[in-house]
Amino acid sequence: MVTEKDVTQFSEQCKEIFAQIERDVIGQKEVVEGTIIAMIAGGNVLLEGVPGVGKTRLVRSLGRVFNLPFSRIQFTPDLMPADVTGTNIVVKDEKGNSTFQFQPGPVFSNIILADEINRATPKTQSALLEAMQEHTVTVMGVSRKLNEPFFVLATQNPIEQDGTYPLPEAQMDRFMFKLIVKNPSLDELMDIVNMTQKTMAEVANAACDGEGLLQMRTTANAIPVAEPVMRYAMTLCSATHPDSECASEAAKKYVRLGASPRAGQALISAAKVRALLSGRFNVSYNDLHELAYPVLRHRLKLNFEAIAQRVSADDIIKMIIDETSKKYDIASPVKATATASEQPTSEAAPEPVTNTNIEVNVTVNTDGKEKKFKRRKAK
Amino acid sequence: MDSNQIYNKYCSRLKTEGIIKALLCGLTIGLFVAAVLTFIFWLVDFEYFWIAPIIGVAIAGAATPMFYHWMFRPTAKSMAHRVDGLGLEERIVTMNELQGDNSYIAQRQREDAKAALVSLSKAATTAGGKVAGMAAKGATKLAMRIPTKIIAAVASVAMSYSAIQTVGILSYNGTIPKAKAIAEQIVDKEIEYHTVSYITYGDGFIEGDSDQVIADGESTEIVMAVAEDGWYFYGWIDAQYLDMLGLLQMFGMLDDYIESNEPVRLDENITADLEMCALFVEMSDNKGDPSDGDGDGEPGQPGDGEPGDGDGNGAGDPGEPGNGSGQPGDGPGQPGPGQPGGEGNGDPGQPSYGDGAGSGQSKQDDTWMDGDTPVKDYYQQIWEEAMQMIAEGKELPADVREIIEGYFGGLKP
Repeated sequence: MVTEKDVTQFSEQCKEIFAQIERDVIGQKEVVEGTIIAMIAGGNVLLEGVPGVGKTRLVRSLGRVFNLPFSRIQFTPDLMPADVTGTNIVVKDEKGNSTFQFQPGPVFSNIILADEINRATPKTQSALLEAMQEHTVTVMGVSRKLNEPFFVLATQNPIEQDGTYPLPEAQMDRFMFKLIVKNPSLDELMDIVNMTQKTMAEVANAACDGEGLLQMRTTANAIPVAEPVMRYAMTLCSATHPDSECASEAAKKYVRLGASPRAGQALISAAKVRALLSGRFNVSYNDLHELAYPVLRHRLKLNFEAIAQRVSADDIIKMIIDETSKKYDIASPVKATATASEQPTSEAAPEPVTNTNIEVNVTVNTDGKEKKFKRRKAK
Repeated sequence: MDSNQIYNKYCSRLKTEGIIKALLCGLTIGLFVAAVLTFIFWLVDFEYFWIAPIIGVAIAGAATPMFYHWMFRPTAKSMAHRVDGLGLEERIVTMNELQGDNSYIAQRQREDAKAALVSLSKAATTAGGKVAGMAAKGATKLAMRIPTKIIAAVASVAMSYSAIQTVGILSYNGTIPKAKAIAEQIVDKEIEYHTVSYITYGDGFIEGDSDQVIADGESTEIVMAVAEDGWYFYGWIDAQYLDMLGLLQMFGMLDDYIESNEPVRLDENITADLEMCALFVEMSDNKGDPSDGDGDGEPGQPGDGEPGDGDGNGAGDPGEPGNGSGQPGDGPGQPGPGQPGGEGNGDPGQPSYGDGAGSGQSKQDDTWMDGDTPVKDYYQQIWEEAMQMIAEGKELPADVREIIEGYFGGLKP
């Protein structure tokens, strides 16, 4: 049962987490928010971006902020599954008898940074499948439970494709979000260079611990989702399937394979966290619209037509949202954004909800549009 | 202001909207029934027109509550959806679903929803009529949303009713005829049909429907008089003159009774029965009288033109009608002695003398065109194409018309 204390704690910890991350990572607000939402919701994250945009630094900072053991695995073509999961080695006991003893691999940690995950062979990539979904590792027929909370934060470079192995669908599906890490803006770049001229050291302090994170997850899970909102979320997921009864026109035209049921689970879990972070105690359609991009973009298998016409997964998701929102008589996401941006300048606009302890009001937007990262102070 | 009051205020608006919609639908049904009744009353010449609107009002009164109850009564869910449309981000829908839930999160959600509702109401109030942003959006959304379909239905039914009512009143006053009188007038008027027949006299036939039944004032289908070999078409004559054909011939008045020399015939604006006869005359027989064939006009003598020196495409002029006692002498001229390849430029023959043609084959020969194609087949093909065009309502091209007319005209001596 979630209590007032839990909600207050959630609010305070979120505020502190964002503050500490900001000390180490400049810019990349959307990616930071997305990653934190995924971590609170208990999902793995795939970060895609060119080298040098701060992917690894972000993951390291998260490890520090959450005060969790952190392992980094640099994926290379010669990396073997045992290098990830660990293996049994022969040891001699005091009596001189040889026995097998399990030597845990780097996966036995709480936060795993799978750096350049697409450089390893599919065999090694698959070593993470069980860990990512069941949070267990089976070696030589013995299953071992991983520490909770457990996250895999993987990075991949979209440019260098030579000598890489694209992640299989099964692995892709196990990532809750795929976040695109973009190049920093000019101001952010100046800030980054100024900061690193002084020190390269990471200064973020712990703002939470594993137990606290699990409690935050429990709190967020208690957020109710109204039946129409739930139905809408599932419709969005089903609409990505070209063969489903509620398939959208965009999916019929451009998608070969749609999102799995995991996408629906991820969308709702993440939306609950986002709602609570926004100071709401219910999930809104807008939460779903914003989160549909990171949840669905890596789950859509595009067909040849989409590739030939250079239609991206994000374009298709936008079309699906537009079509589905019309069907449900919901204000389109674009209008909703415009209204939100009018709010601060309009005297007539209603005050934000203030009778709450939630202070952090974040907006995850990964559809490529510029968006303000707002913070509200509680009264 | 208490949030419940605000919520109730929105709900009462939606209820009002539902009532208006139900009223409009009821009115549509009532007006429709009234219009139908008025029309029936007018048809059966029932004088008490005022009964129709009374029945219409009664039906509208009965239908309105039913429409409201079954179709337009706002449910908690639909009201919550509408109020959420003000920009409340599904707070009200969720609040509705969490009714009876006393968990901490449910309580906080309710407080949050109510606070948002109060905040929205304040924003709309403080704007002093100049609502902007989300409040403006909300105000627009909660304004009455009456579907245009309903409004259009009411308007069209009301107009129909007004029109029928006006007709009824005018009819009752005697300004316009009563329905019964109009109906009788329509029923009594029978369409008159006429029979049009095309017959032949001589050796030829009618191409097309020779017996046609035509409605009064309409036109016949096109027919064509086609002569058999050795005969030519002389003209169309009313069949009633057939019995006196000999007399007409005798007094040289036949041409006065010939209506047309065109083999193709189309009669327009038929207002009475009609029987037309296509007269055919034998070519080899130089008798001028098509009726009894006892004319004794001499056939035209071959022309005596000199052989031409051109490229052989000339044709001798036909001979003049013979001037024997049998009028009119119209025997065809015989082929002239012109050499093949010569350009026929001989002088026309004198009456009773045929004119020579430059070609080795005469036009009247009617057998071979180019040593291969029968002339008749060629003209038959052209004629069929022409008939096809006429049937399709196309206008005949001048060259086709010329060929057809030339063919039949060319058979004349």
